[in-house]
Amino acid sequence: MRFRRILQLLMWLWLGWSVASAFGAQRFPPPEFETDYVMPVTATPAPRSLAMQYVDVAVLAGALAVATWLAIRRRSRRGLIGLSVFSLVYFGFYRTGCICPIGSPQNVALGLFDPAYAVPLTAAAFFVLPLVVALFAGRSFCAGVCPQGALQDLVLIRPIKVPAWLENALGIFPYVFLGLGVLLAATGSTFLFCRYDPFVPLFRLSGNVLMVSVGLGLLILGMFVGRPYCRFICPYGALLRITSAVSRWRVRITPNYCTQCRLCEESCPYGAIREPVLLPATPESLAPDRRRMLRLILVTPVLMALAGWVGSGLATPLSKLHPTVALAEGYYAPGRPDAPPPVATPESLALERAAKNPDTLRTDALAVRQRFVTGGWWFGAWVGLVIGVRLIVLSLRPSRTDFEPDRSACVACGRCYTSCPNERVRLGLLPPEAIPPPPGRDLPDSNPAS
Amino acid sequence: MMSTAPDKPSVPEPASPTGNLLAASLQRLARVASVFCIAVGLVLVVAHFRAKEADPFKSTEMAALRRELAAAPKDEALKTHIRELDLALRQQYFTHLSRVRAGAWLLLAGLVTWAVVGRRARKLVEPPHLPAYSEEAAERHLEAAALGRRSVAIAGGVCGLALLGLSMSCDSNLPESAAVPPQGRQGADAPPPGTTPAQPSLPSHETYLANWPRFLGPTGNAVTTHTNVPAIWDVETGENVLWKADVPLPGFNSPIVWGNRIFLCGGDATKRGVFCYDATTGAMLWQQEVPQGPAVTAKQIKELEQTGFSAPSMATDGLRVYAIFATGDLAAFDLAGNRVWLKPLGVPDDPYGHAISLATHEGRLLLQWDQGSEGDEVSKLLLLDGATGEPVWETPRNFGSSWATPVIIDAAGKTQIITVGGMDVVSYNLTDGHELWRLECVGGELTPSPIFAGDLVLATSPSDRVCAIPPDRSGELSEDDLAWDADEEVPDITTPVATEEFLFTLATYGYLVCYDLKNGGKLWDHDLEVEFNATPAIVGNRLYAFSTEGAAFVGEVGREAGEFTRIELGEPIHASPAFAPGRMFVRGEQTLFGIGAKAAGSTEPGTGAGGGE
Amino acid sequence: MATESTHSNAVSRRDFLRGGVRVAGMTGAGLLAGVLTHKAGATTHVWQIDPAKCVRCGLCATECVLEQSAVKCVHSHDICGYCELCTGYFEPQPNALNTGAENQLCPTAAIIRKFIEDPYYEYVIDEDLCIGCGKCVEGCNRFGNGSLYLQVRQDRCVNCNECSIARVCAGDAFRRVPVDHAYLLKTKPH
Repeated sequence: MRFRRILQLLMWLWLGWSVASAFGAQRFPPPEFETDYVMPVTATPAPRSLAMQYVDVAVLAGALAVATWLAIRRRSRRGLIGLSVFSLVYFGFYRTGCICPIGSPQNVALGLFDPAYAVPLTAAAFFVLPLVVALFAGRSFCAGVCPQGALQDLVLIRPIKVPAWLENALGIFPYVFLGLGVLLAATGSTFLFCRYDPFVPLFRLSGNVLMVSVGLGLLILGMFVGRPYCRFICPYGALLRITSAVSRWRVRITPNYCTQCRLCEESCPYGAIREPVLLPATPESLAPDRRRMLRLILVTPVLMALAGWVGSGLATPLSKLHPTVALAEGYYAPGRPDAPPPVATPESLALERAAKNPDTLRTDALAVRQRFVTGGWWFGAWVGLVIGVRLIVLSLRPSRTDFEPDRSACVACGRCYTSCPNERVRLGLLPPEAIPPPPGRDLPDSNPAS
Repeated sequence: MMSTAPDKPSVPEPASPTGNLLAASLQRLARVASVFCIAVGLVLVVAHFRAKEADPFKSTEMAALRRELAAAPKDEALKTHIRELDLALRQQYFTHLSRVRAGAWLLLAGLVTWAVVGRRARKLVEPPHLPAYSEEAAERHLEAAALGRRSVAIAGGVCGLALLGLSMSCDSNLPESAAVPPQGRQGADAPPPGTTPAQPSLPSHETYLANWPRFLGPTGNAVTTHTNVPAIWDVETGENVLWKADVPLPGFNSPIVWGNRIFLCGGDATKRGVFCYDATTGAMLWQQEVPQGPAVTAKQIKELEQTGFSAPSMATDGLRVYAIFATGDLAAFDLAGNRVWLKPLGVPDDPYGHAISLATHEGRLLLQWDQGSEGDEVSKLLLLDGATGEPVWETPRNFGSSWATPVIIDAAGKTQIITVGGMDVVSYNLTDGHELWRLECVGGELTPSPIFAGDLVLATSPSDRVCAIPPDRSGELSEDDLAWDADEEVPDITTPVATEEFLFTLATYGYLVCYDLKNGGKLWDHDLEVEFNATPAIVGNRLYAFSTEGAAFVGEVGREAGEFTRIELGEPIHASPAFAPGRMFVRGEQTLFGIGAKAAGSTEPGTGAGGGE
Repeated sequence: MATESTHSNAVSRRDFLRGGVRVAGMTGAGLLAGVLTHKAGATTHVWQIDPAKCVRCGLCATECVLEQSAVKCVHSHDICGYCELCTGYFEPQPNALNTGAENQLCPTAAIIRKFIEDPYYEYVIDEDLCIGCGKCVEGCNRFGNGSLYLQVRQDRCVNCNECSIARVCAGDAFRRVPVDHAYLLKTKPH
């Protein structure tokens, strides 16, 4: 019996190379045991249960509610720190930064463009919830729910003021990154935000050494520059900036009225506090502003078209991030060696797959690239629009009477609250008579909420 | 609000000796923590690169020792040496893993200390902000806005230039058309001497079987190996319906599938088209018109108008797809949609319009060209070279018109073509077209196709009987050679389908009968009570049938009849479904339905690249 | 808010605009949520390897975001031949058919070989040791029944949005599968 099996095996070895492709062939019949041997069953450890994912959504919703309450009604920096630590532990180290809203626009984009891809309900919820909250209460998500934000907020030790012009210039990159990531996700190429998320490897305590280094680098930078990722990279932050610009309620520095004492003006490490401005509304000063505004409004579509054209030209380089195109490009590469290497490498195995039907591969790749041409126009137009709108926003005439945080830029960290003397009165740390009443007004109700 | 514990404000403590001392020691601690973090981080990075470089499982020393051992198989000392080295290498790997883990935690602890202590120290030494009063807020704002606009414009410009540079600096190797061979690599794909050069190689038999390359699938048995097709779907809610696509031209032919592509054809009095869809998205990848042959007359078109222009299903060999229309126009396209050749054969003399589907075998195309009536000597069987459309051989058939599709089988050591015609079941040798055997057992308007299952050829005489013939005889056979026959509720349009165990027949009026394939014994019957023209399909232990009024019936079948679920598709179905892994494609009168569980198998980018399997 | 009781015209116009955009935003979010829930399956999906497509390129061992890959070799015992000369366990042309390191294919000695009865040997994978390199899978598929193959172990996998192994997989063998059918196990052919 044994020798027969070995003989059989040798025969197979001899045949082996020629029949290697015969997949699943039952070359050796399963044995019939005479002893009462029991076959082990192949274990299939289950993934994280669906219920736990709904728990994640519930925790997100709860944390958003608490953050909103802490930032707007309770006005507690300490509470927000506590929530940040919780989020960092739960969404960061426990859930290893995955699932997170930052990556969710990609799921949504892929879901909208690939009919075969069903967006997980949890991803959809993670995408929509913080945005809806931002429409009403600003960036509560950034305040203490986002683990990436919490990590950077907690390591900020000695903030340096980033000059406003630099902040403005770098401020367009989140939008560009968002557009790029959505384009790549919608074409089914790659999940850019996830691949280049610098903090997720830290949460996992393992990962690609480049991204770990970038993450650590950003953290060390973040000790001096407030939230560098959130302000200059985060694509979801870009969406939150847009939505929170129209928010119903928002963080206010003072619980009731501004005494113009300027004590808060340096308290924001993120450069979000705007000083009161009243521009003269004389015809001489209004006319050039209006002309500029008109010019900018007219120039924006031109900018969009131009950028769209540039974007469509990106089809060739960007499409190479799509696995099909990458494989086709590799297959048709001019310098490819003629013979496969003696020992198969992953590359040679992939090219072998390509060689089975190069023409289908080529047409598929060209189809993907065509999608990139269309997508590139949209991407470019988006970038043009962002630049145009930023220029228009910078030309708006502000009419602020109080020191107040910028709706879009404020991440509701709560650092400014206690710098306001009115807040100190509210907290009972100063006697009410220490503060001058607002000129021409009675002392208002000290309840901070509307 | 006031009564709840108020936040402790971070008032800078007045400078006191104890405060200073605390601040100084905290600052020192923060500095220590920072040095510690950087050191641990560096060690981790170095360890990572060293582990990458010196992968213990790619040890050259080990490889050398193993080679040595192969040369001196009896050297016990060498064996011991190998075992020791193996142990050392494995220890090295797992120690590295645990060190990285520990290092990561240390780093984390260091960072936490650094952040906590640093913040506290900072708070102690931070001077309070003393604002300087200034009047020119408006001026400052205007200046800042102007500067901001300029910097946004510059950043936008830089960004645009960078993107432009990226788009300019990148070239693609992809040739735009198939005609251009990948330059400089002809050598790579050059087949061994003796075979035709510049021919892409034929896909393997396994690949052929994994696809749905002809009418009723690779075996002609309407049985798919892809059993993960949903048993339930809903066109209304979209449950398990991946996509719907319009079918531009009508036709009774069934879709075929190769890799990620679905092919079908359609035709009317004015045009004939071949359509290729993406199996993942349902998007039409290409469509090609097939021109009408020069000899086709308006009268013939008029006659065909009543019976249909595009009943024969297409077939593919993995390199090309083939389509034939009732006008006798036969065309071949490559998978990318370029026409390879076109053959106008002229309209066959057929009372219902030509309906025999195509079949392929290893790059060759089988065409059963039955027409006229017995004695006209116009019918023939042809095997065509797929690349050129030239006949390899042709054999005359002394039969009139028939509508059943031949099946190619491997039996009795030969590749046989099983056909029906006139009163006979005829088998031909695929190699040369010579007749192998024939048995007179059928008759009438032959529409159900012969199939092959469980080593039996099963031929159907419409509304009469099903005959089981062992295909291992030769010459003129007699009734005695039948393994068995059965005559209950025999279909006249649909083809029987068979697993290795059972045979199912579905009569036009909805009567489903199950036989034991071994002996023809009837096991059960079940009346579905609606009309069927389409051959059902078998998926695992389920049977899928599609009625002419647009309802699908899905039920588990086996030794006993199961319950059938009725699913409405909303439009008449005349075609048999086609399958791909996890997906089923059903052609309705106007719509092609892609049915499958969402995201199963098709979400990862680049599924389209595979040519099969 | 008390301070907003005195509105200038510009402010109220802006507030009105904000309100409008907010309503539009809510409508947009609502529509999007509707489309997504319509499309979204309640079942989530996880990554898995189709053993039929796996070409044993070895990238599973190195490309996973986890330090020790979530891909492991699994063994379908019901299609295993229990061979004495297991080509998944032994080197090609092994020195002797014993458990000596010089004979083993597995670099981490993660396959445990146990005598059952003449002439059958059982092979069991120790998942804590397995690094998912696929060397045994290659041997078993090339010469044996193919009962050893790679699978993503869902208790280890962190289910990244985009699997970093799937991106580079030479055989295009990774795909998302519904969470309730999280494994693509080989079973006895029927």
